[in-house]
Amino acid sequence: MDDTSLRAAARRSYEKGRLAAALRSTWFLPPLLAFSLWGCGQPIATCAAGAGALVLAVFLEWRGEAYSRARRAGLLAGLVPFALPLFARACGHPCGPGECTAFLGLAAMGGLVAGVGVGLSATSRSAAALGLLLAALVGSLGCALAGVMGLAAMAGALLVTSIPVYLLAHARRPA
Amino acid sequence: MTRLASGDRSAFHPVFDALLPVLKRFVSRQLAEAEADDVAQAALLKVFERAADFDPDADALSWALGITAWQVRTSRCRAQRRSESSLEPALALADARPSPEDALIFADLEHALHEVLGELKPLDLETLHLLARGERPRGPTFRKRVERSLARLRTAWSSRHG
Repeated sequence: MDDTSLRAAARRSYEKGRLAAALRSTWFLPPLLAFSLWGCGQPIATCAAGAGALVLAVFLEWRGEAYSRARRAGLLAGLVPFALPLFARACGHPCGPGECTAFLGLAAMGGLVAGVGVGLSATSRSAAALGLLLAALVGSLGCALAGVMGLAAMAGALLVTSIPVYLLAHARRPA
Repeated sequence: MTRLASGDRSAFHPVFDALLPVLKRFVSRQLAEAEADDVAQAALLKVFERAADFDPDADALSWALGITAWQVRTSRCRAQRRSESSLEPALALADARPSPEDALIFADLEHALHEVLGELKPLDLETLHLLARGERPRGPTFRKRVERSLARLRTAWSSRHG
């Protein structure tokens, strides 16, 4: 192979390797999806959110650098709104999906915490936005239990906290 | 390499330019010139494919040379398997004539057959000769004659040779 062809082939190998590594890094999403399907009883919404979270997580990891960091932050932050309603359900809370203000409150609380997490860790605006979206998608796997209102409450709480936290964190960083 | 592993694409060309001559020199010391280039290129592609898994705490050159050494080993194993499994050179040298043992066995069989044929009736002999030459006279009786002649030949052979 001449230099140009070898360089192109090496670049393709590199991108292929990054994509494979990104796919491997999302191994834990299917169990989250399974838990959500069991707990929330909203298969269509759960599968749509799960598929979106998987695609976004793979893209962010493949892209790398700030996006990879935003992926990590988004996944971790999203676990909070994911876990809170499902944990309440697992502990025997009597309400069904979409019937309960307690779930609504938990979804909003989870969104607040997730927003702070993403706002603090993001290092670029585009990465922050995508990390926020990932947190919302992962969080919605649990907040589907709270119905449409719960999802809206989580998303709203995410935005309300993440933007000011991000701006504040960036204002404090040296130029 | 650390920047490349984290996804910084601007590190690609510097890493490529630094690695290629190093890997070529490493491989050319261990393999013949004819295949050294191919193996070095395959190793380089493997290094880039695994770049995302590179541990920033590790030494980049040692890591790349480790992958290359594995490619060299694979190439050597493949070459060894090719030389072990190929029978073509041996077949080209083999003698196509029958061995002395085969020739002796054939001569014995021929002698035994002539003895048995000598016990058959002239009509049976004529039928078997026609059959051997591939000649088939018209008429339904020839097929019957062939069946009877072969049955008598088998019986005579069994009684003589078991």
